[in-house]
Amino acid sequence: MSSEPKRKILGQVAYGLVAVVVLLGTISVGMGLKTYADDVDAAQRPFVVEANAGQLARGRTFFATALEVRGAGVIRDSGLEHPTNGVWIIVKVRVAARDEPVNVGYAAVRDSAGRVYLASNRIDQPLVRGRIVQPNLPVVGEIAFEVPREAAGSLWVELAEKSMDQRMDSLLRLRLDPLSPDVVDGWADDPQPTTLMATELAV
Amino acid sequence: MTAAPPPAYPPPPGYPPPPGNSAPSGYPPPPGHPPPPAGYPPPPGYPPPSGYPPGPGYPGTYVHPGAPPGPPGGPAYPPSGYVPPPQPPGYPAPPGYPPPAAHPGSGYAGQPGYAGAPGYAGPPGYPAPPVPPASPAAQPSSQPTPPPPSPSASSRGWWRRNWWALLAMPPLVVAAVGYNIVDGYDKWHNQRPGEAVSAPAGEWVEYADGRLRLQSLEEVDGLTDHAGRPVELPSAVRVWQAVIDIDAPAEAPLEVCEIRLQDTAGDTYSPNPAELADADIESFYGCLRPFDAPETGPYTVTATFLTPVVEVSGIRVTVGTELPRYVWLTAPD
Repeated sequence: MSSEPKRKILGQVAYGLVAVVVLLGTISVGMGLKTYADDVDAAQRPFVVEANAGQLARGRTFFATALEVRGAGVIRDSGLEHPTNGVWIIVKVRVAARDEPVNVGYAAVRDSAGRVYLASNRIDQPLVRGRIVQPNLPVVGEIAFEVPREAAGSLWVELAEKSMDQRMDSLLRLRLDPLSPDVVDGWADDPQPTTLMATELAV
Repeated sequence: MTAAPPPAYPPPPGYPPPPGNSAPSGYPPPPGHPPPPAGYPPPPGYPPPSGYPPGPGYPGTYVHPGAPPGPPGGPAYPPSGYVPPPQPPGYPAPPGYPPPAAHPGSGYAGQPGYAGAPGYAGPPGYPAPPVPPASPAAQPSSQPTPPPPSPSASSRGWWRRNWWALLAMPPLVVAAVGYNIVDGYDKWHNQRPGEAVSAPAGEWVEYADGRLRLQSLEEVDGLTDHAGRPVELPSAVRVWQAVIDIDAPAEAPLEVCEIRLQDTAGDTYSPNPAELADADIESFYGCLRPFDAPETGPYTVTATFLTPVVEVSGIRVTVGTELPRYVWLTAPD
């Protein structure tokens, strides 16, 4: 065989090899991206907006500020006393709707270990799950969380509009001032019942 | 006399050696090369390809290749004073063959009109390469031009070979991702009130198998609770009441309407604010027919709103199944 056709065949073989290498490389890159990219839960996670105690956090539909935190061993609601083996953490927050009425349907605290405790449904929560906040009419109220004593030292309050599904929406995460174990134990061991403040307009 | 055999020349690239015979193999010396000794048989005329004019013949006696050399003392070749005619044009290169190069080592620059022209000089005794048939009309009258070699698929550029795929790629990409984009936009658009249905202030508006109109929209003060005590409200808020006439048959989609008061800044307020839970005002259950309303015909509902000190512009009525259409009601002056 003369050199020209031979060179031509070699060129075609090299062309095919390059095509195979490019194809395999593309597949490898795709598999790598799929391996290291976020899974569905991570990709659709909420848009977290963090703020320290006393600072305003701006969400998609509402704003919130953590004002104070207190604790108790017993909460009285509707004439009934609700003791706990842990401690009641009561957070005072200010909430304002952005441009439409909004209901804060999700409220929880997250401890330093990542554990999440929803706002207690043992008592009536006047600020969350049903309270409609009107635009330009901020309200101040309290939310009660029942948590273990060892988890109460470092907490974040999480607020969102939707109660069940916070994916792909803003979630406000408000840092609470750290609490010493002595303070937590003092609250938990206090036999005097306390009540939540009534939610009121803050204008 | 017996002539010494002329030096043999190798065949051009791509050509096999000529078929073996007893005569000295090789090609005739090109012009400018020392002529063969006298008595050497002239080179055989190579049959021209189809469509080529016959080449000029050699004068003198033709000696077939392979024939024994002429007798000693025969006429010398070429005869004295003979001017060799120009050589015929080279044959076109076979498909896939490069144009012939000058003969290596001979200093031969090619036949007249040969340099750069496709084709090979036909070796003696070697069959002519195939020549594609040419139409008589395309044949030049004097010097025929060999047809240009057709480019093979591999010799064309990558862009020329893949132009159709490149051309198809943009619409394919649009088709692959466009549906999701359009579908997502439609879902978003159809869940929001974006297309207002309105009428002059105080006029009926057809919507959701019924019709409705805003009878009045007024600021209210001096509210009391059910015990007659005044309702305490901050001075920075206002109470508004909208009276809406509705005419819709039972179980019409309009019954599940949602009503909002809108201020001039675009902020909207929902009825039944929690701050007025104790106020002695008419209960509002959407666009449902009140219990104390007549069983047929139009009826009236009253919605109460709480706002900061703002200027209101109208009432927005929506029904989920009617979105993105919504009713925009303004109060008569």
